[in-house]
Parts: sequence; C-alpha cells; structure tokens
Amino acid sequence: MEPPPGGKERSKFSSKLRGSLLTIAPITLWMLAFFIVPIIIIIVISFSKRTIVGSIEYSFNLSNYGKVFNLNYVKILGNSLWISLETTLLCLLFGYPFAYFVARASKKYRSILLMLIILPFWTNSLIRTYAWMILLRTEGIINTYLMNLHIIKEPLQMLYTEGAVLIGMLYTMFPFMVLPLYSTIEKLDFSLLEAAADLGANPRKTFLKVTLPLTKSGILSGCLLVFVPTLGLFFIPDLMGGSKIILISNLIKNQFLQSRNWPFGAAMSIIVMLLMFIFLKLFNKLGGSKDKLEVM
Amino acid sequence: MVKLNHVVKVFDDDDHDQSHAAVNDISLEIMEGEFLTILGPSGCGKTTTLRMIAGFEKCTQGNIYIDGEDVSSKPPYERQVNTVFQSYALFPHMNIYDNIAFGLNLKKVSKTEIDRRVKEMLKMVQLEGMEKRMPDQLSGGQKQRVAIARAIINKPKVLLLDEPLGALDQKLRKQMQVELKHLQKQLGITFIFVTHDQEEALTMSNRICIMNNGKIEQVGTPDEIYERPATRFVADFIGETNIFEARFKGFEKGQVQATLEDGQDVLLDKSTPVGNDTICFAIRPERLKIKPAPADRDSYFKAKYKESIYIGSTIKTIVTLANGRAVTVSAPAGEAYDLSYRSEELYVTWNPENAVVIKE
Amino acid sequence: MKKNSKFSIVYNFIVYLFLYAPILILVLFSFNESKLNAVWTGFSLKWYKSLFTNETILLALKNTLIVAVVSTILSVMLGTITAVGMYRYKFRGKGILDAVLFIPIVIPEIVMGIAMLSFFSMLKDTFNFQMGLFTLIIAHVTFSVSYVVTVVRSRLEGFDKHLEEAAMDLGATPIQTFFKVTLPVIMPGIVSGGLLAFTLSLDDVIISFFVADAGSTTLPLKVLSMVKFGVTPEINALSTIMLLITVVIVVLMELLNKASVHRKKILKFACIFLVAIIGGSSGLAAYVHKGQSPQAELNVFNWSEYIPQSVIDKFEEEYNIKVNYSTFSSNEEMLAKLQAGSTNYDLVVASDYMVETLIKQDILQEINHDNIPNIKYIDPSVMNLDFDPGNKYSIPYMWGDAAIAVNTSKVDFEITGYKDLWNPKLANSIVVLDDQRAIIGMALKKLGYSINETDPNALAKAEKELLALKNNIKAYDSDSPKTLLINGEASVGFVWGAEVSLAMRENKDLICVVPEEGIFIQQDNFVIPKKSKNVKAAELFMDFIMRPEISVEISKAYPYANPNTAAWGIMDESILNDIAVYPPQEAIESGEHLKDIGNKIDAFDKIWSNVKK
Repeated sequence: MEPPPGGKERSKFSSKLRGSLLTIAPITLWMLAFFIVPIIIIIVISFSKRTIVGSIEYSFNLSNYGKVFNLNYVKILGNSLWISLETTLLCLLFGYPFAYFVARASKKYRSILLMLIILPFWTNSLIRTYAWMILLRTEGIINTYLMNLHIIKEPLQMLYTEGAVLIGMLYTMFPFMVLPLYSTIEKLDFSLLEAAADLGANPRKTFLKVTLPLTKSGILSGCLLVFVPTLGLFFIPDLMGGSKIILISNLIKNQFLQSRNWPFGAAMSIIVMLLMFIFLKLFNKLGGSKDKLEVM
Repeated sequence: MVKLNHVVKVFDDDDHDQSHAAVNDISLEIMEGEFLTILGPSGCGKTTTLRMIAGFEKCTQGNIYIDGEDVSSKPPYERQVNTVFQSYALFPHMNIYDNIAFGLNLKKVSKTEIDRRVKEMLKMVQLEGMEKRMPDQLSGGQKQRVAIARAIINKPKVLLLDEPLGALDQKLRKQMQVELKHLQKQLGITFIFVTHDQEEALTMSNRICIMNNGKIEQVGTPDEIYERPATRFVADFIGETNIFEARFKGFEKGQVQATLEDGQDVLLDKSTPVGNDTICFAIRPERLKIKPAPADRDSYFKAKYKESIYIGSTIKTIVTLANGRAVTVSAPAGEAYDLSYRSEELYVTWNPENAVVIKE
Repeated sequence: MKKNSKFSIVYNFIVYLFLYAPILILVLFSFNESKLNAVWTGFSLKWYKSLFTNETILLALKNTLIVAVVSTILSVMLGTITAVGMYRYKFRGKGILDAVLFIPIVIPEIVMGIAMLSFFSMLKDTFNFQMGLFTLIIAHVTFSVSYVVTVVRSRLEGFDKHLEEAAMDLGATPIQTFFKVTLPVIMPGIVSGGLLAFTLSLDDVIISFFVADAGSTTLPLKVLSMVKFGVTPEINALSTIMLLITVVIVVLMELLNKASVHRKKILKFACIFLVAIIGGSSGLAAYVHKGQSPQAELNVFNWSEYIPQSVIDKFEEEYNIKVNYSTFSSNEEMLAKLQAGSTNYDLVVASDYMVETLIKQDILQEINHDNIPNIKYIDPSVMNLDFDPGNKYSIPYMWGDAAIAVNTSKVDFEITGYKDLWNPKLANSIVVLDDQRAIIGMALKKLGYSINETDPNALAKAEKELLALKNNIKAYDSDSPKTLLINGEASVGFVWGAEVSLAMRENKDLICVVPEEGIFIQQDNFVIPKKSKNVKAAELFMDFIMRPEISVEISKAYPYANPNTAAWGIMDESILNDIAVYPPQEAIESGEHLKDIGNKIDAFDKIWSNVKK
C-alpha cells in the first residue's frame, strides 16, 4: 500500500514555500522600497545635471563624475582616505595590545573589563566628540590647567587642527576595533602558544607566526568596521576641525545642504559606495568573513 | 502495537547523500508491552527509523501503523507516541515542573490533576522536591530522568528513546539501564530503544532488531541474536566471534567434514547445510577450549600459540593457524592454562553444536 | 591563563583612562557652577534645572523616544521574522538577501542619509506627506533591522533543534511550538537585538540630520546645534542624562545574557524603566508647554541667533500658535533647504540678493501689506530697494554689515582694514564667516574691486589672496563666531557686526573696526514661500515682530541694525551709538549690497572649495 507519490511531496513543498514567503517577504519588500530604491535614485541623480537655480534636470550626462576627477576633489578624497587609514592603523596599533590583555585577564575581571569597553561603544559619538572639545579648547580644561601650573605660557593650539580631527575619529571608532579583536583573541587556544614555545619559538616569533595569523579575522573585521564608516562621519571634521578641514563627508553634505548641487553630491556618494565595495572585496580576499563580524 | 510496512526513506535535501536510501525497505512488527531495541552502527538508519515512527520524518514509501491505525501522514503532535531525546531537549526557559507538565497543559488537563500526576512522576523517577529547579541546574542523569518523566506522564502507547544514555558516564549508564528496564516493566508500555551499544541492547531488550545500511539484518531475542546470528554482519557486530570459511569435503563419522583455509580438516555438526561449496560458520571465543589433546566428541583443529591478554575476569588467548590467521579463545581467569603449552602446537576444540552456520 | 605583566596592566589602565577621562570630565562639569567649561567653581544643579524647563529640549527628547520606541518595535518584529525564516528555510537568493542586509552595517551613514533624503523629497509631493517623525522612523528601521537580524540569527545558531521536535512530540502544533518554545528560548536574543536597535536610534546623528525636519528634531540633533553654539554646560547635563540611559541599557543587556533565573524580573524592570522615561519626559514636556494644545502651527526659518526665544514664547502664548523655529547659517544653506523641500516653511528670512534669487525662481508669494499694519514703523530708506521694488514679496527685518573684531590684548598692531588681516602676526588667529560671498567679496574689496565682481581675472586674483590668507584663518564659523572671540580662540574676527557687538559685551578686550576699504551691507527680509500652509499666522508673526517693544527686545539680544523707527525711541542709547551695530554714515554710503550673480556662482563655488580644502 503506497501513498500516491505526488500527494505528500506537494503538500510539503507548498507549506515550506508558504513559510519562507511569510517570513522573508516582509523584509524583502522593506529593503527594496526603503533601501534599494533610494540608492537607485541616488545613482540616477548622479547622472543628472544641476540647473542654474540648483534643482535637478534629468538629462543623462557624466559631467558630475568628470568633476570628481578634478584635482581639488581628488585631493579631498585622498585626504579623507588618508585620515581614515591613519585612524584605522592607530586603532589597530593601540587596540590590539589592549584587546589582548583584556582577553588574558582572569575570568572574574574579564566581564567587567569587557563591559567597560562596550559602554563607550554604545554611547552617543557626538557627546564623546563634544567631551574632547571641552578638553582641547584654547580656554578649555587642558590649557587652563597647564597655564595655571605655569607649564606653558601661551595656550596650546589643539582644536581646529587635523590632529584634533584624528583624535576625534580615533576616540569614536576605537571600540569598533577593540570588540572584534577581543572576540577573536578570546577564542584563541592559548595552549597553541605554549606549543610554539615548547618547539623553540621566542615570544616575537610566536606572535608573528602563531598569534597574528590566528587572529587575522578579528583584525580584518576591526579594520573594516573602522575604515569604511569614518569616510562618512562629517560632524567630527565639522566640530573638531572648525570647517577648515574638509573631508569627503563634509563635501557631500555641503553639496546637499549648501551648494545645492545634488547631482555632484550624489556622484561623490556613489564613488564612496564603490570604494566601500572595493574594500569589502579586499576584506573577503584577505580572508575576512562577515559571520565573524560579531560586535554585539 | 507498531508496524512498519516496507518503509523506505530517501532524503531529498542538500545535507544528505541522495544516492542511496537511509532506510531501505524495512518491515518490522513491535508487540505491545515489549522492550525492543534497534541496534546498529552509526549511519545504519536506526535513528531515522525511530524518527519516522515519531513523525519527525515522513516515509518516502511504505506505511507505519500504531495500534492498528495508519499514522503515516500524521504529524508528531497527533501521534500517541512520545520521545526521549539523546540531548534531553528540556525547555531551558521552564522549570522542571512545567517541563514535565508541558504535554498535559496542552491537553488542558485540570490544575489539580496535573499537580497530582507531576508529583507522581517525580516520585517515580526519584526527583522529588526538584520541581522549581531549572534545567541548567541539573546533572546529566537528573536531566535524563526529567526527560523520561516528561514523556511518560502523557501515557503514550509507545515510548521512543533515541540513545538516551549516550552522554552518561559508565557507572551511571549501567544504573540507568537497570532503572529503565524496571520502569518499563512497571508501566507496561511499549519501549522502542535505539542504541549502538550492543551490551546495552543485550541487557535491556526483549527483542533486538539489528540494522545495517538501511536494512534489517536480524530480529530476535538477545539469546537468539547472540547464539545464532543469521548473517555475518550480526555475528561480527555482536560480541566477538571467529568466522571461518571452509570448503565442503564430505561426510565422516556421521558428521560433515570441511577443509579450513590452512588445509586442516574439521568436523561440523551433521545438521550443517551443505548446499554450497563453501560453508561459512562462526564460533564464539568462549566456546573454544585449548586442550593438550582433543576429547572424543570434540571438533578441533591445531594451532600455534601467539599471545595472551589479561582482561580481568577473562583471559583472551590468540592462536594462529598454519597460514597465520588468528583465532581468539577466551576463558574465565579462574580456569588456568598450563603455560607449558605455549610453544607447542595446541588443540583448539569445541562442541560441534556451538558452531553456527551463517549466511553471507 | 598566564597572569598579566605589570606593563600590560599599566597600558590597559592608560587606555581606559583615555576612553573614560573625557566622558567623566564632561559629567563632572555638568555639576559645575561656572558657565565656562574650564574651571571648577563649585557644585550646582542649575544646569539640570534649566534643562527640565527648556521646552525645545524636552520636545526633542519626546521625539527621540517616540522614534526610538516605534522603530525598535518595528525592527524587532521585522528582524525576528526574517532571522527565523533565514534560519529555517533554504531558498534561492538567500545569499543576495544576506549581502543586502550586510550593507547597512558597513555603509558610511552619510550615503544612507542622502539616499533617504532624495527618496523622501521625491515622494513627498506625490504622496502628500511631510518629512518628520514618520520619515525618521522609516529611516531608523532601515538601518537597524540588519543588526537585529544578525543578533537573532546568531542566537538561533545555538538553538537546539530538538526542542521544537520535543514540543511537537508532546502534542504542540507548529504555532503552539513557536509561541511556547521557540520564541521564549530566543527571547534574550530578540531583546538584545531590540536594545541594540533602540540605542542605535537614540544615538543616530548623521542619518537623522538629513531626514528630520523643523518640528521633529531629535535629541542628538539638538545636541549638535547646541554644540555649535556651545556656551553653557546645559549640554553637559543633557549628555550626562543620555549617558545614564545608555549605561542602564548596557547593564540590562549584560544581566540578560548572564542570568537565566532572574530573567523575568530583569525584563519586567527593563519595561518599567522604558515606560518611566517615556512617561516622564512626555509629562514634563506637556507641563512645560503649559498644557494648551495649539490651534495652528507656524514654520519659521531664520538665521541662527536672530530672534530670541523669549520673543517666540511671547508670540506663542499670545496667539496660541505653535512656532517650529529652525535656523540656517548662510543664505545658500537656506536656499538649498527650501529647494529640498523637506519642510513647508511659512515664513523665511532672506538677504537682499537672495530675495532676488527667490523671486526669479518663483518660490515666493506676494505679501499683503494691509494685513501687517505695523509696517508703518519701518524706515523708508530700507524700503523699495533694487532687489524687490515696491516690497511686493519682502518685508524688511533687520540689516547689518560685516565688521572686524580685534582683541586688543592679543593684537599689538593697529588694524584698520581688510588688508591687515593678511599680517603674518595673525597666523592661525582669525575667525571668519563661513560664507563664500562674504569672504571672496572681502578679498575682492581688498583688491579694490566691487564685491559683486565676476570678471575671471579679478576672481583669480581674489583666489590667490585668499589662499595666502589661509594660514591666518583658524576657523570658519557662521553659526556663532562670537564664541571664538569671547573665549579667546580667535584674536581677530571678520563677522557680522551684531556678533562683534555681542562679543564686545562679554569680552572687554574686544573692539570693532569698520574696514576702510568699504563694508558690505546685508538687508534681511521676511518672505513667504508659495508652499506656505499658514499665511495668516505668518502675517501675524511679522506684525508682532514689528511692534516697537518687541523690536527693542530683539535688538537687545541680537544687536543688528534695526529699521524700526518707533523702536529707536525706546532703545538703549549705547546700542544706537555702537558702530558695530550702526556703522558711521560714510561707511553706509560707501558700502555695497550683495547682488545675485546668476550662474557665475559656479566660479565662486570652485574658488571656495579650493580655498577651504
């Protein structure tokens, strides 16, 4: 007595289909409408022209992209990439030992130490930037106390410099580097390091040949999570650089809110997006995987 | 009580090998009140079979009947069977009381009735007083008992157990085996037990069903399985055995005469089927005896001593035939062998009745 | 686990210090008596008190919480369903969905921000909605749902499949299984995801910046504008409170991850906490608003620091009309925002040349003078000017010039005109307006050209001059340049006259210099855009502003040149005599107004970005 071969299979198929449709359709529609479509609009705008009065004329042309390759803008882009790179490397340099030591701390302290890292990550980056402003101002706290202690005669020029922007970025993005690093280092099997030592490797060699390669995914994740977002943080150069430092993020913002050149702004945004994809590709090539991005 | 009729299972998703069936046409009947164990190596299809009875997998072909009713198309929540999982699968967000009462709560049984039965269960599995504890506060053995209580409180017709003792340590395991057996006797419901541990199967079961590669090799009582394995696989799988392939030679002294692989002739019981040229038979190590000289009724062959292994309660002696093939003989440690036989040729003897002819 | 060496402990301690010192100082100084965030003068709670009575802040808090709660609920529902679906089912295109959900996590927020801005501006007219809480919620859900999916999915990975089977085995249907077993077990993951989404929404600056409108300012946006005008530690107090909320959330999350026994209690506490803050802030906002629900709303768009809050409050109270007041810091920014159309402004203030532009672009509607009787007080010399003959579209508000402020205690030589700004002694000490017409114009004037010169040769020369000036410029600031003059960051400033005047009030070392090369004068005017929804209220507002006593109140706060003749009679003598506010007659006569230069603005754009990079 065999059941009709079609019957069971068909019902199983349709209930699975119904299930996946029910659960996946909502997000698909949402992302399509509110994410994909806006980006497509930006792409379309980037190929449009700006009218004299500043609105958009939808005639296909590549002038905006051409404009981007103007030396001035290329310099701005270069500068932005450079600052992002500096920020990333500094975060890595200072963050790695930090994450390492926390991962090696004794169990009872570790959860508190970890929470202390997570806390700044969750607080408003604007507030944290402002905190630095009051420290670095000409008549801010650092200068006031240094002057009062007669260590310096003239107040130090700290705010409104590129250095200030760098500190701002570093401060904001530091937790984004530390958390993925901590995640991978914590999973490291420390007996491997002992094995290396046992086989004759000194601490430096052990680090280079064992620790570093094994924590590669954390390093890559951290770099990705720092580098790409810094390209878009306009309020840090705004506040810490006093509008003197123009990075690609400020430039884009200005196109939309000041110069009324949406097409040009859109073109630059597309370039930034392309850069992001390039770095994602690089990230994948170097062995990073997005599953290991656990920052939460 | 449970009947499987030509059941086939082929998995059709990417996680499984689709080139051959996980369960390949098995038919089995399990009696009411019996403790049946499905035994077999990893990948033989035993767990799949159990899951089909439970309803977690649908049969590709064939039918399953429970208490006369065809349940092949019924989902698990409509079948009157309950399962004890290998990983216990206790609901981590509920305490012991709620875990056990889960099934009853679904049936909307009255609060007082639930209370009475849960308490009864806890007593039965010796976990009184633990109602408010959470699963992660229990030991493995305790979790096991909760899983059992949770299942049997629903008074299922059949209880399915999927390698429930796998995660326990040796001592606890043996203890639980005894307890489960008692429980089954006490409750009187049909237990279908899946394991890969043959000792467990032999200890607990009324009958054992041995599976290999999706097919049933043999179904029988522990005694039958052990003493009279039907196939080479069963003989090999259960306990230790020596399997010989001998060529039929003729008849002698009213018995069958066959030639071993090293050229020696041996005498086999007169009931040995001689249809084929080759006779395949198996003898358990404990049925072999090493003697200085064979007794009159013995079958025997000559072999050279190789080594002895002391196992505590038994001593295993390995001897070799002229062609180097090893044969295992085992005896209780109390029956000492004279060590002077070591370098000599020994006589390995057995009672002809104890050689079992097996199919390939 | 090897114990950490002393070095590592010290190193980590220093890093923690680096991480926390700024925040702790920020919090500490929120209790500081002094207005300046520099020296501790005593313990005081006054900033917290003023915070609780500041209506705009409470409103921003309410908005922020509404957006956060609604967007969190939506993202959690959407994200959880998605995570469950992706965990359970295999389907074609799963990889693509995976990738699409990954992008919002890595993409620079500014790209998302402008994408949403463009998207909403395109649709708002067709579908007739306004940018506001609604668009904010959509934007927030879009960027936080990815995070929720990630968190819930990783929770599902560790989910024991057998639990669902066990439930069904015991008699539960698939739906019963989901609600009785699956959901409760993954609940910690869902809650974590929810808390994450909540915090992301609470903290978002960049995307909200583009998508919010006048009436839907969120707390971070409010902090951003406060920081730009940063003077009082009110910001510290606000920041401290926001930090506190975050701390509670993080601690809750940690507890949820650890404890299994007390989970229900923790969840209960979390919900109570949330309800408390929402209830508390809405209550406070309502109380401060004095309980009257306004009959109408008026969207006003003006320069920053041009109308004091007290005047706005008085208007609101008298007419029971809610004023949504937003500000800009340059004409170009105003035009850009008007064109983006995110808010339908009812009343806008535009400078002379910009009025010309707006008229040309057909953005304005005509104003009926009969409905604004107080117009009779306006000085005729500012009426009927070139940019709007007959004042068909504009009503004069205030006017002023840009002058040079000099801190005599820091500058040891005499400054008489623009040319002195190039003096190498002023390296890195000048604050100038962030306004391309003003600055390029200044360079042109230094060279002897008109401020409206468009000749390419002249512009090239001006550009060279400005590049040479770069070294002396410390900051570009049109929002509140007086701040830098007051706190000494800048020793010289080329800023609006009124800013100079206000700075001089706070810092006695400052004086005002009227540039000898000639000033440029800006006449600011009220205009009403065609898209205005409440012309009546706009007219009432303008009339209100022109009341003599109100006019005086405005001038006291922001001493621009006031054309209200009736106000002169009641105004303080010292203001009338302040050359920072009312330049000498000769300067006015030789001064220039900016004119609309059409598409020649492109050349200015190029120079400006070249100069500023």
